[in-house]
This record gives sequence, C-alpha cells and structure tokens, in this order.
Amino acid sequence: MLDAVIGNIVKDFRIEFRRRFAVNIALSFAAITTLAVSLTAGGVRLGVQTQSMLFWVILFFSAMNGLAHVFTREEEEGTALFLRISSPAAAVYTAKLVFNIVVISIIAAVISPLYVFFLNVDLATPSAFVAATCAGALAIASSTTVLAAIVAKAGGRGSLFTIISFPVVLPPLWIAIGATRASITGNAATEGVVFLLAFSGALIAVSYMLFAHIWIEE
Amino acid sequence: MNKILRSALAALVFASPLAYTTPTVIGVIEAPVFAAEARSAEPAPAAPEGDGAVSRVMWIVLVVWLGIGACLFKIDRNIARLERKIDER
Amino acid sequence: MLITRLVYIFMPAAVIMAFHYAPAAAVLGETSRLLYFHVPLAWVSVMAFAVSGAGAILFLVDKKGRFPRSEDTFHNSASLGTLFAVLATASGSVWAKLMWGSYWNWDPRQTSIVILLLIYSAYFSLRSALAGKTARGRLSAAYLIIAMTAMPFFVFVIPRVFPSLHPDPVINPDLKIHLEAEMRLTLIVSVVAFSLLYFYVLEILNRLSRIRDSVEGSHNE
Repeated sequence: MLDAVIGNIVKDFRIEFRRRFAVNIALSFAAITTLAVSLTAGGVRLGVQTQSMLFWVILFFSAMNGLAHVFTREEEEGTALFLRISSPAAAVYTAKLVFNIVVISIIAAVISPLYVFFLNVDLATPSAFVAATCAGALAIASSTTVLAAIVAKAGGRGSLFTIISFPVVLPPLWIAIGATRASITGNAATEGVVFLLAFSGALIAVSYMLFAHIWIEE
Repeated sequence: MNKILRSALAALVFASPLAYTTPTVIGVIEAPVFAAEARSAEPAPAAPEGDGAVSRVMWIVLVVWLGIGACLFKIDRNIARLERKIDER
Repeated sequence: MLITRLVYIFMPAAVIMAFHYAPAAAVLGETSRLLYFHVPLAWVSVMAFAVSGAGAILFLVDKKGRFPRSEDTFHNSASLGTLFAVLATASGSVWAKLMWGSYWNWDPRQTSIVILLLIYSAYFSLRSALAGKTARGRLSAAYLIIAMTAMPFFVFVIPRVFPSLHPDPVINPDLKIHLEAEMRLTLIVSVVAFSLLYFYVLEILNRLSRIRDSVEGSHNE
C-alpha cells in the first residue's frame, strides 16, 4: 500500500516536472492577477481587509486553475482505467492529495512574497502570516482534491470545478482572510489556523471514505 | 394537466374581487402559485388599518392554498391510476 | 404515507390561525404574521437538506439494495429544498424590508441561506454536467455529502466573521419579546403543516420517479 502511494507520487511528480502544465498555468494566473491588482491600485496602499481578501481570492482562483489537472489529465490521456486496476483507491487518493498540496504550496510560496512586495503589505507578524497561508493552502487543497476527482468524471470543464468548489471552500476562505488580516495587523491568528487545520482534517477524512465510491466504476 | 391549471386559474380569478381594493395584493394574484404564499403578508404597509385587511389577506392565502391543494390532489389521483396500470402489467 | 394527507387539514388551519387566532405582536404589529410562514419555510428547507444528505449516504452505503428509492429521494429532496429555501429567502427579505428598511443585510441567517442556495446550485450544475452518465447518482451523492460536511464549519464560522452585526433578530424578535401561548401554538401548527406539505410533495415526486423508471426501463432519466 505504501509502495503504491509512493510510486504514484513519484509518477505524478515526474510527469509534472516534464511538462509543468498545472504549476505553470496556476502560477502564471496568480502572478498576472497580483500584478494587475498592484497596477490598478496605482500605488495607493489598500486597506488591511482588502489586502487579505485579495490575497485569498487570487490564491483561490489559481487553485481553481491548477488543482483539477491531476485528475483530468488521467481521464484525458486514458490512463485512468489502468490506474484503477493497478493501485488501491486509497493509495491513488493519497498520492493525488500530496501532489495537490505540493502544487498549492508552491503557488502560495511564490505568490506571497510577490504579493507582499507589490502591494506594500506591512506585515506585523510574518510568522503568523506564513502559518495562516500554509494552513489556508492546506485547507483549499484538501477540500478540492476529491472535488477534482468528481469533476474529472463529469468532463472536467474548467468552470464546473470552480462552481462546485466554491461553497465548500468558502468557510476556510473566510477564516483564512480573517487570519491573514490578524497577522497583518499584529493580532493573534492561532484560532483561525486551528480552525483551518480542523477543516482540512475533517475534509480529508470524509474524502477518504467517499473516494472509493467516486473512483471505482461498476 | 391543462384542466387542473385552468381550474386553479378560475379559483384565483374568483378571488380577485377581494383583492381589487389593495394594489399590492394584485401582484399576489399574478405571481406563480407557489410563491404567492410568501408574498401574501406584503400588503401590510399599503393596506389600510383595521382587521378588514387581515381577513382579506387570509382569504386570498386560503384560496391560493385551495388551488395548490386541488392540484396536489389531482396529481395524487392520476399517479395512483398510473401505478395501478403499471402493477397490472 | 397516508399521514401526509393531513396537510389538507393542517394547512388551512395554519393559515386561519395565523391571521385570526394569533394576536398581533406587541412591537411589530400585523407584520409579525409573516413569522408563521417564514419560520416554517426556513425550517423545512433545513430539513430537506438533512433528508437529502441522509438519502445520499444511504444511497452510497446500500450494498444489498434495501433502499431502492434512495437516489430519487435525495435528488427530489434537493429540488424541494431549493424551492423552500428560495421561498424562505423571499419571505425573509420582505420581512426584513418591513422591519429594518432594507431587503438584505448579510445577517448570519441570511448568509447561511445564501450558502445553502449556492450548494444547491452547484449540485444542480454538477447533475446536469453528468447527464446521461451511469455514475451520476454516485457522484452527485458524494458531492452532497462533502457539502454537508462543510456546513457545520459554516455555522461555526459565521458568528466570527460578522461579529459587529447585531445579534440575529430575524428568528428571534417575537421569541425574545414574548411568545404568547397562542402564538406558539400557531407556530407549531404552521411548522407541522409545512412539514407535511414537504413530505407529501416529496412522496409524490418519488412516485413519479418510480413510474418514470419503470416506463423507461432504465435508471437514466
């Protein structure tokens, strides 16, 4: 079982490293949006609430662009059937989850300094900001991976993924915005981070139970 | 199905004399049958004081419910007839 | 279930009681009568969501086929739930206009009903994208369960996100001021009436789905 997980992770990373499709699209989107926001702000320093909100809006939509790829690629290239036969469902889910977490961590890691730099964000507690960003990214990845599996079987058109992800991602998004705002103004963000971790845990647990039903065809 | 709709419409038309005095309530008559229940209490600001208005609203809501109930009853009977036909097959 | 036919008695009773038996509330006056329509609608929409979620879980875990109609149940309950949620939102915003002068305030309750409507619209989008596929029941059931898991977090989140808003007066004004015995009785009768209506229409929709299945001879609509 562990071999299957590791094997799948390695395979997904190799494919991604070869073509860099998902990461490229998501990163480009995030960078363009950040620059667009900074450009149109015209040097005016936005309010703290606006800054934290825009940060998470950018991250959310980049995730929508990049995180469905790991499943839709399997369906498009016809390798899904082989994957169903060769690996147990839980191993497939674990591998895809790890992959998505890494992808969104890369996006967040690249976009955070870009955002802080271009929008003149005055971070009072950088460690809290980093913690909030990590926890929020984890929450987004853990809730959308199983939804990506559903969307891949539904044809994988881009906007469907956004439509069905939005209601599920909205609570962690709200809390992440609050936690980021707290870290910018210097208040404690621990409550928000704990909430995000709890949310990720709950969604991952439910996803494990549901994945077999989604993935396996009769 | 058309007969049911027509009878519901007739019921609503008969209720309109009750409604002509309060302009907002006429919007209730034209609204889709289901949503009418939600808006039936809207006349409160436009209606004159006194419980004459309250009785009028109540009668309109009752008539709307009569229409809905009649539709449901008809549907229920048609479905029962279909089910009997299928079970006989 | 024959007990749902009682709706023919309960609903007119609820309407008559709402307008004549129950007294007008102290501060709100006659507009308080909206309470007997808005609260049951909101209650039924939550109940429809719960039934939908339970039906989805039953559908997925049912290996022996003991609940053959579970797929239709959760889909029909979702449709009904959407309708009741829309009605609850409409009646609630009318009441908000009468009480506070504006239709929409992003109150906690209003926000959660909007989220519920978002979940339903996502569910129907997913369902239409899956049209014709055999996995449609399974995938839409899985989505409902995921959305249901996210809901308790919502209930937790909303008081924290809107701390500056006044405590929710939509549900509570009369209950806080005082709910006399007659008002309570009317409210109970109204809730029972709307619940019966929901179960009755759900039963009708389920029977329709069953007829459609047996006429078409397949599981796809």
